[in-house]
Amino acid sequence: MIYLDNGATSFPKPASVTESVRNAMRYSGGSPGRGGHKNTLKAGETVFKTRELLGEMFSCESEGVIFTDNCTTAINMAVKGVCRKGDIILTSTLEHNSVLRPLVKLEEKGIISFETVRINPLNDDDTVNNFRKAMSKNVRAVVCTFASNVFGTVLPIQRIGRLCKEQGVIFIVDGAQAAGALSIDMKRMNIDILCLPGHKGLYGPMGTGLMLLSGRVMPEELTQGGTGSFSMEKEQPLVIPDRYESGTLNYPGIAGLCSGVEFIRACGGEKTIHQWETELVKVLENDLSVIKGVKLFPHMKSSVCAPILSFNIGHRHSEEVSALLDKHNFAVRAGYHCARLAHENYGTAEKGCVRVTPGFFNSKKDIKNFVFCCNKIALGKKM
Amino acid sequence: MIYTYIKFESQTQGEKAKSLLIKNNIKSHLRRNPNPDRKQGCNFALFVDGNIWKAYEIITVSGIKSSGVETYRERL
Repeated sequence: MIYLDNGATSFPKPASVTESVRNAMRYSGGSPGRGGHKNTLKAGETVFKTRELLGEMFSCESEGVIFTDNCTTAINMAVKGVCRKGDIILTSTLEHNSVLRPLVKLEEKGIISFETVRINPLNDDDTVNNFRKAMSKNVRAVVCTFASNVFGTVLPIQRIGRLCKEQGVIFIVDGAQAAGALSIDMKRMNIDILCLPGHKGLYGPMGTGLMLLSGRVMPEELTQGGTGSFSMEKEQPLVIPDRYESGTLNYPGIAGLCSGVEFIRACGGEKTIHQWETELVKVLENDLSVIKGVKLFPHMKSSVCAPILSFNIGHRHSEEVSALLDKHNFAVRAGYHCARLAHENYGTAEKGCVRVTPGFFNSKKDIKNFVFCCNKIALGKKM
Repeated sequence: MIYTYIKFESQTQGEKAKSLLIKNNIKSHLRRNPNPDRKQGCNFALFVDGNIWKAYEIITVSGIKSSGVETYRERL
C-alpha cells in the first residue's frame, strides 16, 4: 500500500513513536499526576516533557498545553468554553465540520449567532478586509482554520490575529493540517487558543489532541472531575493544565506524541518536512496537469500552502476514483472531507474531490506510480 | 527524619520548577507531598539537592506558582 492520506492521519509513524507507546504500556504504565510511586512519577515526567516540547514548538507556556482526545474535542472545549449568550462568532468559508458543527449547535440553542467570512485564496488583503468588515461590538471570537483540509489554502493567520488583537476579539485557530508542516507561533500570530491533533503532522498515535492556551483567555472547562490535585476541595481547581484535564490522561498516546515531536526536531523541524512534502506535491501537480480529463484545484492555493492536492477525473465521482486507486493499493481520501463549507463555497459539492496528502516517508517514485495509475483511470483502461 | 521541600499544587508546576532548576545546575526530585494539607488534599513536593532557599528564589522570580517551603518531621 502506498499511503497518501496523511491529512487524515500520518502513516507510518516513526519507529520511535511505536517504541515509546509500547514502552509506556509495558514498563511505566502509571497514571500521570496520580499517586506517588515510581511508575506514576515517571509517567508524569514524560507528560511534562511533552508539554515542554510542545510549548517550545508553538510558543506557549508548558502548563498551557492541554491534552485532549483529538483536535475536535479541543475545538469544542475552546469554542464552547468562551461563548456567552448573545455573542457573535466569526468563522471562514473553509472550515471543517469540527468548527462548523459546534457553532451550529450553539446557534440552535440560542446562545450565539455566527457569520461565515469569505476567504479569497488568491488575495490575503481581501480576506483580511472581509474579517474587518464583519467585526462588530458583539463579536466575541474568530474561529478559523490555519489551512484548509481540502485545498491546502493557508489563511493569513498573523494578519487576522493582529486584527483580533486590535478589536479585543478572542482568536481560536484550528491547526489540524498545519501542525508539523507549517510554523505556528502563538505569540507572533496573536493566537489565544490553538487546537491541534496529535496524530497527524506531529506523528503521535490516534487518540491524542491538544488545546494550547496563550494564557490571555481561560475558557470555562466543559468537564469536571479528578485531576490528582486539590483532592479535598469540592470545586474544580482553576490551576492549569489541571482545570481542563479531568480524568486519566492517555499516557501511552502522550509518550508516543513526545517521540513524534522529537522526531520532527531531529529531522530539522517542520520546515524540512514541509519542503519535502511540498516537493512531492509539486511533482504530483505537474504530472497530473498533463493528463487529459484531470481537473486539479490548484487555484484554491495561496502562495504558502499545506502539502495537499485535490483533483477529480472526468465525470467520475471522487469516491469511484478513490475506490479504483485503492484496488491498486493507493490510499487517498475522497468525498467531502467533513468540510461541507469548503466544498459548497468552492464548487466541489457535487462530486467531492480526491485529496492526496503525501507524507515525509513518501518518495517521488510513489508519486510517479500514483500518477501512472491516475492516467489509466483517466483513459478508462481496464485495471 | 526531617524533610524540607518546596510545595506545589500540581505535578506540572513541580516538573516546571524542576526543569528550571536543572537549567540553573541545581538537581532536585519531585515526589508526592508526604504531609498534604487536609483541607486541600494531594499535592507535590520538590526536594532540592543543595540550597533550598536559593532554589526557591529562582522558582519564585520565574513566576512559577509554588505553595512555599515546608518542613516535615517524619513520625517513627
